[in-house]
Amino acid sequence: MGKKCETIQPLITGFIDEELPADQQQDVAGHLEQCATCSELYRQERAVKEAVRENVRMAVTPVHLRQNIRSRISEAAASAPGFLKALQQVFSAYKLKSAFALTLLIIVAGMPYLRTGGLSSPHRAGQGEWIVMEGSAVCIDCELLKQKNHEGHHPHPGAHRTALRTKDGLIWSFLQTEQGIDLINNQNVLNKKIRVRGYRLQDQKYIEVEGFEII
Amino acid sequence: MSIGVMPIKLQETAMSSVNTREQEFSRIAFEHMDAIYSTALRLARNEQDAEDLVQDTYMRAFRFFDKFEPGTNFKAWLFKILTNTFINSYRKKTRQPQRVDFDKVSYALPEEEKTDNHVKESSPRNFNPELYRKLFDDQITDALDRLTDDFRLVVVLCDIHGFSYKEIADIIGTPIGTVMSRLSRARKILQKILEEYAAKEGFIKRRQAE
Ligand SMILES: [Zn+2]
Ligand SMILES: [Zn+2]
Repeated sequence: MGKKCETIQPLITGFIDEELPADQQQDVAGHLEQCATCSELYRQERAVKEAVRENVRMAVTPVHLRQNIRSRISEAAASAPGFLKALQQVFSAYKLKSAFALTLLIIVAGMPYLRTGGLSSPHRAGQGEWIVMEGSAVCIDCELLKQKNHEGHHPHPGAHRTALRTKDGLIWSFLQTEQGIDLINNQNVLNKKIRVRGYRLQDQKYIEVEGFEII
Repeated sequence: MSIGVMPIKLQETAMSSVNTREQEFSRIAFEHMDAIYSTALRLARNEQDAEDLVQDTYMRAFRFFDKFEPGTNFKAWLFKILTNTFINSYRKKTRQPQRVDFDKVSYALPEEEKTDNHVKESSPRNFNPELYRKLFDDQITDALDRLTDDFRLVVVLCDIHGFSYKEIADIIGTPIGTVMSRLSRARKILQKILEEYAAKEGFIKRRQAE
């Protein structure tokens, strides 16, 4: 093993991960072109990295775990010492201290709501489920047009509006919450495979979006 | 009368105020849950412990959320909590013992041990990186699970989640140089295991020495 090889070989890992300073990256690259021994080591290590990167899959969090964490955090937030204080601050800000007791009563009575996602979405209670859904992102208006005239050539007015088409051909639209609107207006996901998680409303084909990613 | 309406409006205002911390946490923390869960699976190597680990990580993160400095890397912060939680409470009591059925080779090589020469000798001359593609993904996951915790962790953080050396150093609390040398060793050990698998599958000849 040449002297150069001795200095190069400990750097191969960093070279593969592109973590070396630019001059060292160049140095290693230059040596690899000339040295069969070192370039073989490089090839082998890179193959291992790629095998891991390509084959070890990301797992999807089980729905029950996600729900569990959500509700435990809600409980922790509601029972935090700052909770009542914060409530009182809000009420004193409104100069309505007398309403405080009454509201507290309502809040305590309404605790189960809190755990299932808060008062802002009362429709949630018992009507749907937390889901992770995969499918293609399609424009709901384009799809409607296609169904009407069998050729999607006539453009619809306005921008495309994203919806999710699942394997079974169903098209799910998104509730217009903040995250929902973000996804509806997201033109970059169109025609891509996406994974959406959130709350599925059973009766209508709506998803209340919590998050999404391109897959 | 507005009395019936007022409290409800107020109630929502109150909720949104006290829930700000919870909402802010959920907003930035929940999107990393699959990454955290995937890593927990590789660390704990069984689903039940992985779930407990994820739950503990999130509860801790929420409790210490005030300590997180806005503008810094939240995902790395979350991974740091995951790693610490694992090291402090799970490493000792993992339900699944380290598997030892893989010949007599110990993969828990001490840090000082030089693996380079040994690996070079044992590598088949006609090594072809493409052969790993023929292995099943669960064989590669399996190979990863055979590494000791320290080695497995750096591989998971670097090669699966794409953290930089600096981020990994911060997550596991070591100098950057240690990250690189651990990665280097971990990949060499992995290579040996993968070669064994490939040999078992008949993709390459078994080594003469065995
Ligand atoms: Zn060389
Ligand atoms: Zn359209």
